[in-house]
Amino acid sequence: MKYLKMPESDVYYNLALEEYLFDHYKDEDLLLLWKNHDSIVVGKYQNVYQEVNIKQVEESGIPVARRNTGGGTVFHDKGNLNYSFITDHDPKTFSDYEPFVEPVIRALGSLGVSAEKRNKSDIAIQGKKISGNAQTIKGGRILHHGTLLFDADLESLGDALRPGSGVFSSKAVESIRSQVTNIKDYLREATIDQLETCLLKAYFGDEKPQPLALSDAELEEVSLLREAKYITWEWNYGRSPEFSFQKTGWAGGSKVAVELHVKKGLIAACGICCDEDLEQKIDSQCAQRLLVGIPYSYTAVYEFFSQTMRRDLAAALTDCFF
Amino acid sequence: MENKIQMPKMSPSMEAGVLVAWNKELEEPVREGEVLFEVETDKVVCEIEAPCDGVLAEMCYSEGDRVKVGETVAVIQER
Repeated sequence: MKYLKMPESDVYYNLALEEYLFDHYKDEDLLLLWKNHDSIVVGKYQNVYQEVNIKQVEESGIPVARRNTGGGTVFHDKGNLNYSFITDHDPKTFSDYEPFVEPVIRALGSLGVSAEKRNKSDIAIQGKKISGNAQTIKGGRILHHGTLLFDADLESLGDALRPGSGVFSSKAVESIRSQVTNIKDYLREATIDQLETCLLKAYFGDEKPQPLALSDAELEEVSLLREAKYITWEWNYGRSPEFSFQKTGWAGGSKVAVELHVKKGLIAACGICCDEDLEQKIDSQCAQRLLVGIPYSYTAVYEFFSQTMRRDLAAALTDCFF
Repeated sequence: MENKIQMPKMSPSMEAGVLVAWNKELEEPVREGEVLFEVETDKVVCEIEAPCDGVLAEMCYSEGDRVKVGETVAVIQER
């Protein structure tokens, strides 16, 4: 068994590195430990538009990344430790998270924290979630990974993951919101580095942990995978399952009802209903047609409306779309 | 010859899975071992591989559908 403390904090690079190792290192067990700068990570089959506040995300520039495992949306920052465990898949333990979370619970125990497995795949302290876990199985191998809220900013977590008002309709996997807490609140004194050390001890036992080193050529392939997949709009936004969205808002003194159908992140159909005055001002019949094919992005829709009307009206109209 | 690919029973207690993604389109050529579709159950994602070469002749469910174990999900027309 080998381990790797990922040196980078770029969520796109780290996801690419995790996938690369899962696909290419098939003969050994691997433990990966990694942290990302502030970012939002959605599950593989989620509708990103349903999970985050798109306007806030685009304005703040916070990275949104789609991972290769199922489940819901999580917020990452440097106070959150991610761990990945890659090994041969044992069909007898399919969807049994116990073998994978047990070492984590033991590691927390060695720091004096009493944690327990909760629901199928969470770890909690006194009923509050500190870890979410998910898995992917391919070619006889399993990748299990999880988050560990050590000292994360739980306030920002709430803000970014709150979509605007409006009704979504899709078959996407939805997040299940849980009450969360930080591990640090239950320790007298400890650092995230100490948590890493305890995790290594729990997985390796008395065996000396062997570090994994990738060659320059391999690292180059990871960078290429990052560019080709993980950083692309097509993967992060375009992979959202198709969905419908309905919202009623106000713009230019009129009630505005918007109905959208979005496929692969692009507006596929659009309906705008408003009173006659506004209809003439914004030429809503024409707008409905021209919006088809445009990315369902706050910036893109705002730019579209800004071309033909005052900015404040464009902003109010755009708000009706999200 | 037609080759029917069913929703696999991935654990003794599994009754159904969600077909979360198709990796191939109708009439697209398929090679043995290529990922045909993906299933999610209990936050575990499984990539289901094609068992033979051929063409994807039928897609019996769409993305997001919950499919019972044993139901036919795809039909490959072998060449």
